[in-house]
Amino acid sequence: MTQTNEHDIRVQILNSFLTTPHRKIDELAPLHAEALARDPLFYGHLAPWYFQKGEVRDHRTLFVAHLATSEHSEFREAAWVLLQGLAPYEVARVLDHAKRVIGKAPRSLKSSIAHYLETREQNPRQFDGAAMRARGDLKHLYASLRLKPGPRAQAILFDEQPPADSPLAALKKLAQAESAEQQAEIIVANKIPYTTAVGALKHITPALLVALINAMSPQEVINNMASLKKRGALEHPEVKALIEAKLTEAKTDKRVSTMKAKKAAEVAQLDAETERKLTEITDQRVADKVEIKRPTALFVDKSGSMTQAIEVAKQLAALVSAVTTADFRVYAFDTAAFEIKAKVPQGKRPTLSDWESAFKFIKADGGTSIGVALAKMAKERIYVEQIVLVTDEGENTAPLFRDAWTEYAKEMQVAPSVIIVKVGGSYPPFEKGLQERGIEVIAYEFKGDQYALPNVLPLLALPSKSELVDIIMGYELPHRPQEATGVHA
Amino acid sequence: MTMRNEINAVDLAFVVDTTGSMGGLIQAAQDQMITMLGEVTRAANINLWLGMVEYRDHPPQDQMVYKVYPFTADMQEAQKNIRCLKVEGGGDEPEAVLDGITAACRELAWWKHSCRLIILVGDAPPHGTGRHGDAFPQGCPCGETIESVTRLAEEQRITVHALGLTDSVMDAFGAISHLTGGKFFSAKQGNEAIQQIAAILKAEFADIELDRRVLDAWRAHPDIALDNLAEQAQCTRYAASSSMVRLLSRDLIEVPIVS
Repeated sequence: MTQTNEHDIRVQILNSFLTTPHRKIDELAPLHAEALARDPLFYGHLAPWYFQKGEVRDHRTLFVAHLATSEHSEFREAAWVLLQGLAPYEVARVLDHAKRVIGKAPRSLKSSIAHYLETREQNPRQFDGAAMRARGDLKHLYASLRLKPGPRAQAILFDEQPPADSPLAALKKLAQAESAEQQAEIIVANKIPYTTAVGALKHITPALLVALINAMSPQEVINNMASLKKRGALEHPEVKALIEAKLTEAKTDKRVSTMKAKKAAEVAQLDAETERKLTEITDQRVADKVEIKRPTALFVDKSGSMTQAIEVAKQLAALVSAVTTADFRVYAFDTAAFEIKAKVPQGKRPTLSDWESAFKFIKADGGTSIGVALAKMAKERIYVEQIVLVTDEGENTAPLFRDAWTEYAKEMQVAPSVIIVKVGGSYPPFEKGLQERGIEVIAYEFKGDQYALPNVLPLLALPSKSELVDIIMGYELPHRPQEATGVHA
Repeated sequence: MTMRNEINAVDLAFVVDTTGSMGGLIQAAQDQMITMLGEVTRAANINLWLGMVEYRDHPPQDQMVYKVYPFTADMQEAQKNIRCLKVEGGGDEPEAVLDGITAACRELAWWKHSCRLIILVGDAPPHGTGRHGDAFPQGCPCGETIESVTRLAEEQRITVHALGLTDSVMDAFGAISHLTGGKFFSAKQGNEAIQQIAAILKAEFADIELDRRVLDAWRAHPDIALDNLAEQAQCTRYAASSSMVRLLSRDLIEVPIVS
């Protein structure tokens, strides 16, 4: 394999990881199997990189499952370590996927799960919390691997006789409690998770909601926003204030998933104020993750039929402007180009809502000249080092992008790299034309999952695709600590 | 013309090659067009108007370049028009494809607010695409090119999907459909084409009630802020914003003139 081929394959693998269906692990699995088969070395480094930089949990599950069942012992070793950081439901998924889809569950995977369970048993608080949230998954892990649970695990999971000091015992008490005050006390004292408690309660008063929300993490509040709204939480001022306080906490909580907040807003159909708060969380969380240091332009194809591209562009503009420390320009184009500016006070970063306002009257119509925005930038002598194109690549009007790029490179003495976010289709002759001019191109296919868009950011934050691959290759496969190498009986 | 429902109006035009080479294919093409019509009508709660353009070739290859059948809401009449298509003439392999699309864009009375689709059906590429024996190798006598007709379609907000009945049209029909945001289907994918076009319409009109609410809220207060628009339409900002783009793109919401 030549170095160019190797790079191309690695970039293709990276591209594939951009589009991520949620909770459809089986559909995602071939992507991992193929990446592992095509370039095992890169896959091995991609896994720890993704564990640090990636957003989609399904991918983490699949990385562990595929590494754990690999023929390479160092990959199985890495899986052993990575598995320890998963939630119980994810560990159960790893095991099921390995058995059902890949068709094997090697001894090292069993050993890893045994160690996982043993570690949790050693910390009763952690074990009880896990049992409360994922009792079925834990039972499944013990039973499928025929692992002998410790006394506390046995009592909680299999004998249904939780120790008096465990939250599960409290849950039993909760179901029997007669007054709302008693119920609230039990919830607060035992930090009973929201989803568990609502299953045990017939009627939920505002006082109970306060107790429940107090026991929730910011991520849990976000995840359960639709349910909270359904139970009237947003109609009661005190309860709503508590929710807002949790949302404010979420901005700096590193455990909160970047795009979950937006998802919650969509699913729950919230009032504008709460939705704005959730959007702020998204922006803040994104800002914490990466920094784009190169001057960047985002070109949005607004030609006829590109309505979806306009929506994607708003999201991308918000994501990029939240993390860039360099000049950032946004242009919409059909056969003419014009700059879109978000109005924000000096020194403030535009948020998604600012971009939504800026894009407010942009509509999809007209022919397509992808080069027209770059020609405008050359004329106005605006310097960028990378260009993000949100387009279906179907240009039918001069200036063509490749010609405008050549002219721009000559005028501005720079060779901007091009990142294409393909929306609504692709047109191979377009990319081929760019490659023939020696333009560095990374292409991503957007398949409708806006929650995968933050995965574009780490790539924009890097100087070039070669350096990105180098950085990923710099991530070492993890090794388990010496004391953990013994096998659980 | 009867009053059309502005939210769910669809104008669909078949642009069909009726030259002699279609002889063995026309029956299947007619069947597919009629099936598509039924599927599209059932796909969503839409108000469909159908038009058609048949094209052949420029003299001396053929005496008829194209013929336009105006839009109609009468689906029985539309089906009759499809069934009555007769094939003949054509001469060399390439045909007046670009004339057919141009005529559809310019001569059919597309409604201002409709969702607009062309389904191009044919077995031969346009002139000037490098086919052996092309009587007009320098390009179609009409002076149009693939780029110019796709630009014209995009300017009119028309998406062209293409059903190619032979392999020889794959490149040209693929480009025509792609450059307008449409899809290309080969003859073997006839059923898929029908399903996909139905799915495209379903997606387009999936949020019809939301669009209606956003439009009502907008019309009541054209200077409404996005937050308030979302609140009045009982949806999220994101949904309201997406709906706005759809409504703007179909000129159901006018862009205010900034002085």
